[in-house]
Amino acid sequence: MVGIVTTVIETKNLTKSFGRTRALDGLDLSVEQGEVHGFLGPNGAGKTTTIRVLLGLLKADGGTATLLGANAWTDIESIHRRIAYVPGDVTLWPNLTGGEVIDLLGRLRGDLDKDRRAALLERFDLDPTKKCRSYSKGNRQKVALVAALSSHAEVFLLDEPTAGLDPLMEAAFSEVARDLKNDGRTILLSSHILSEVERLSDRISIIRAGKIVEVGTLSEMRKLHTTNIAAVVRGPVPSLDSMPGVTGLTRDGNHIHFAVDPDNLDAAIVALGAAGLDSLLSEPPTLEQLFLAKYEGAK
Amino acid sequence: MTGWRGLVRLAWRRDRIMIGVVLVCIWLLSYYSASVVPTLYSTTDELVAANSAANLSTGVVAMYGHIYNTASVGGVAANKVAMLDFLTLAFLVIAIVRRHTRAEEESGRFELLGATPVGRLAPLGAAMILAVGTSALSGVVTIPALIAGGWPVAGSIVLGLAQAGVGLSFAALTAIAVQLSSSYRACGAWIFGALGLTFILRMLGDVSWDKPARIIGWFSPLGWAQQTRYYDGDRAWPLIMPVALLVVALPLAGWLQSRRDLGAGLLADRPGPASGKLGTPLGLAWRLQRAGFIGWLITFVILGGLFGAIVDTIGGLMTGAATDLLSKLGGVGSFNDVYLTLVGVMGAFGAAAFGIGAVLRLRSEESAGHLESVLATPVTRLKFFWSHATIAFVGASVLMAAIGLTMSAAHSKGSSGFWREASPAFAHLPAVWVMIGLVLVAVAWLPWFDWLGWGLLAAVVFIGELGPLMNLPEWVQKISPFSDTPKVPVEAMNWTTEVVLTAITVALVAVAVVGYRRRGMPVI
Repeated sequence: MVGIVTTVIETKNLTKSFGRTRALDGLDLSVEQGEVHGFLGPNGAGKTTTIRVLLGLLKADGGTATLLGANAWTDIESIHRRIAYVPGDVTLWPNLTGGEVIDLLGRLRGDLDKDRRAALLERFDLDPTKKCRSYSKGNRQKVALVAALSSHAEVFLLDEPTAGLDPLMEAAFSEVARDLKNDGRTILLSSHILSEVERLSDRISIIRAGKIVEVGTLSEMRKLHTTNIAAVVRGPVPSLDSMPGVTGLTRDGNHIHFAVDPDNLDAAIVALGAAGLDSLLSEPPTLEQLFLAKYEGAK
Repeated sequence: MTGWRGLVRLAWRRDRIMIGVVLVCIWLLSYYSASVVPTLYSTTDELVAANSAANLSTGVVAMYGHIYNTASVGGVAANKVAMLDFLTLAFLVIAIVRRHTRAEEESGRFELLGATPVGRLAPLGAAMILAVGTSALSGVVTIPALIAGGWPVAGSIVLGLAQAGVGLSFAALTAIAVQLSSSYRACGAWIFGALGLTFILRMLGDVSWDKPARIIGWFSPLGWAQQTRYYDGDRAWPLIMPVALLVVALPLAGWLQSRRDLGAGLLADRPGPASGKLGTPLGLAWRLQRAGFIGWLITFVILGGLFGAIVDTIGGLMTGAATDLLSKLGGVGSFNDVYLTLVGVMGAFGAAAFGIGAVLRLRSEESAGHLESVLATPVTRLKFFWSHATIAFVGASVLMAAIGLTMSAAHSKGSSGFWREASPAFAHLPAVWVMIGLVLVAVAWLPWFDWLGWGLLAAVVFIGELGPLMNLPEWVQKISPFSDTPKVPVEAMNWTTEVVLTAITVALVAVAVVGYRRRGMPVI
């Protein structure tokens, strides 16, 4: 896609309370056109509330929410023609078949694409003739996915889209999501399944207690965080004890484990090299660590 | 049955408020009905006159039964309160058994229990224990309530036990109904169909109380209860029937349950179409409500035909003396007309029940989580709101037309005019619409209290049926919209009232729309 990067989803200082519970507490989210944006947070952080505000199901107490440049609460019809949604907790009409539900949602959206529907049914290995009450959780999820992904929507709001899917189907989903992205569509991917977000997302927003606590690409986030080092050394490395930026230092004979922040990484490696190295493993922080560090640090 | 104790405790924990409220209503209703009778009829002559008049109206006999001894102190009041108590307890017991068997299975919560060392029959057993216990408690406490109200001890004991018997019968029938289909709703259709059938059977038995056809009433659990003739002969032996039904039905239900898979019905789900034609919110709403509406329509057509067909038997029962008596009691118009208006009112209550159920589908779609998927498409809230509201308004109107037209058509010979005899059904339509409008407002503004819809219907039926009998204050009786609609053809048509009620409906819908567009969704 050539062109000016535009913001497709934008919320500014969004607040929403349910009774005394403050579900959204000044949430600023910004998703740009053509990106897969990971929306990451623990259970109860406000992911689903945010998506419901974006869908115009909930009215925010304060702040603004815009989708495709239009007001999420008032411009429902025009916005919803251009988006598709997979709910976090998929419940379907028990007496309709999966095929009927897919077609119903497609027709309501106004862009039922039979060929694409057939291709996706095959890809997800879903039998559309069964009554929804007899589908397993994973199969209900597939119905919702086929219904959403077969559309020609520009923006996809996916709330934990792979919950209940087996690894093969997760992989199928990832492929389809990449195809959509290559096609220039925008995806907001809400999840607490970190590996999935890590694999697919261009940028990630981490939400905690109704606020975005961190936004960036994975590499930007890593800069802010430590590297894990595991080394087998020939001699002692006493300088590590007093080196700034080194945390979690443990020694087990000649095995050394520690984490070091980006500014002191070279000094730490030089110290290890001076002592003589038998082996060296360095790992970037996993999203889990970023996530836990963020989450626990903020407590 | 291993583990049934824990399941009974769980069921009681979940249902204690529902059971408590309904039972207290039954007891208060029984006490109050008994206690007001002396204030209504100060002399035995007045009592006999009232009971005789009730016996002469086929409509009243069809609804509440025949009085054998017109000097009976219970009489028409006891028959009325007994029938309301019976039906209320039947609905409660059906709800209890369904909730703790098929509903739990469909929701998947049984799986959670099935993984624990709970026996295969324990859920059904626990539901039955709670239902039977509730029935017994309801009947037993009703006895002192009636005695305290001033009715004779022997009759009160019989009536209390008969009421418990109705509970047992419907617990037994529901236990079988929930085995039939894998769908909670379909099982509900089976058992409510059975309830309707038992009511019609006892009705046919009662109107032919002095003919051999009265035996028909013995095929109905409601008929068994009436055959105990509370305050009117007091005989306990028909109570053996509900016990016998329970003894037969329980092993049968247990056998069916132990033969089938968890979550399955006797009739397996067949594969359906791979693609669908549904494409509008109204289409979806109709698809979801179609089966229920057709059931209602068939019931209304049958009832209309039946009520119409027996109009003439009233003429046969009439004597000159009876006509005199009725006019002395203030009855207006012919017996036929009084009867037709009664059918009109009952039909209107039924149509209102359908309409309320149809409106509450808006809520169940929301709480079941289906709403989000629909509203994420370009469908606006207003369109979704109208999809189910349309079914409610149009469906209820069609039902009223159906009962009016079939009733009039079935009474062709000696009819006072086709449209004249169909009119009682149409006259109440605006009142039905007001009820639907009120429930729409509740769904829009008070989604947590959507059950108020049913409470509203119960209150209106209560006021309509027992208000005059209990001497409720004028303003209370006037609250019900059904008290305002003209009782044609006995009363003259009153277009002003009809127009005002229609205008109120429009206003209520407007208020509901404003609320529905404002509030957060989904409220679960």
